[in-house]
Amino acid sequence: MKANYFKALCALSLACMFHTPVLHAQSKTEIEVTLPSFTGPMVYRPYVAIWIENEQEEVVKTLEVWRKEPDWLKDMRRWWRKAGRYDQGELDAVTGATKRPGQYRLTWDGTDQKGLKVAPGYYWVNVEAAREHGNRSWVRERVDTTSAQRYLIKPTEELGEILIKTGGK
Amino acid sequence: MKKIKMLALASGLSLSLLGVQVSAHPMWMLPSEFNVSTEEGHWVTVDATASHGVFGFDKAIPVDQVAIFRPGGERQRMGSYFKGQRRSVFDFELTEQGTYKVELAMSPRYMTSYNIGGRDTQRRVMGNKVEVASQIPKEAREIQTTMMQNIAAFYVTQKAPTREVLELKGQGFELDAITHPSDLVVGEEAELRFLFNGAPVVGLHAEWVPGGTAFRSSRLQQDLTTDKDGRIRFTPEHSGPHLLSINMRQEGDGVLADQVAVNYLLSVEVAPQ
Repeated sequence: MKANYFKALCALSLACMFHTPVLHAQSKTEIEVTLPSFTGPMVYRPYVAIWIENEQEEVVKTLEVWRKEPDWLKDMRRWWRKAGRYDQGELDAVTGATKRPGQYRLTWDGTDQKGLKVAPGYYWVNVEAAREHGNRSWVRERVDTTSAQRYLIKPTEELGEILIKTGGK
Repeated sequence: MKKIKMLALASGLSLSLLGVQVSAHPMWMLPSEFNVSTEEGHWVTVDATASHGVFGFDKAIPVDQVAIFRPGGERQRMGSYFKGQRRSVFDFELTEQGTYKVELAMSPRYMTSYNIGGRDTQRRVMGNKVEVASQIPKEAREIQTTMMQNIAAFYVTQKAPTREVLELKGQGFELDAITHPSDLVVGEEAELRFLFNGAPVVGLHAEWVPGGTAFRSSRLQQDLTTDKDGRIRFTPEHSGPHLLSINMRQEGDGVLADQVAVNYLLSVEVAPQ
């Protein structure tokens, strides 16, 4: 709903319409992920992966992986199948400890895993979370990196609201 | 404020770390069949493991404390057994008609925790209040002894269900199966009751989860709470094996323990309509 509102707002604004990809060669995509809190006798921190896929659903870059033991990486089913299992060590740089409930901001600088700029256009922003004694949630949003827009992903079992902003400088 | 939070976190963490057999990994058993139609002897094989996945194997558990009760209530020996890296297995033979009860009630364990020093360091001693009395320094604060017990159970019925093994003893944590465990059916309301030392356990949280969590995204967990009579009522939506998990925390007798923590896990089959 909100995303549509912003799209509509954008379409009405001349500035938006005439923003050309050239201006956004350096464009950044900001992602704000919220991890909800749970109550109960067995609440553990989720394993979370955030990554970018192109329109062909090929992985462009893994942005973050919040994890502990490697044993449960496979429970992020899609990320593991598409990226995790092919890791040759390059993912060390993007892995961090599991996180508490709260809001986390990260940025995709428009580069691939090797650090090379990718062509502006449509990309899928993916977020997947798996929690021991809990559920697995995977959400994604198709975003246009050539224009400044806001996208909102509704909460799921394991993930709170996710806000994505494209076209930032 | 921050300190309080940190302390709360630390104590929660240490309890979960320590309670490896208590809360870290739910311990359960899964039989090859819950309902049997043979008329002669029939062997049932049982998997036993401690795992968050329902029903996925993770850690083998000792099965020497497993008790098998015949429909008349007498104890029966198990057949072959095996303890592997990830699960334990045992077999037992059904020779009588009616409902068998199989229960793994681990011996209760006592743990005493207290805080000490300017930094409120948390220390722990294994033992009940009487046993550890001489080991606790005079300046210790927030001394608390918890009795912890894990119970895993299931029922197997050969031909028609019987109720002798469901009779209540009025001791420890008990299931009062108002709906017989062999009579859970998709779409039909089931009613179970829980008692501790004969008294209904009120406001108790129970988790009801269909098997196969490793192969789907949602755990499909239904959260239930016992009413003033210690009852839960629910209508199963899926057929197949299910795990009912309960974590009871209650005040203890004050003599041996201040708090009692029981984890009860019942494996039960839901029949299709």
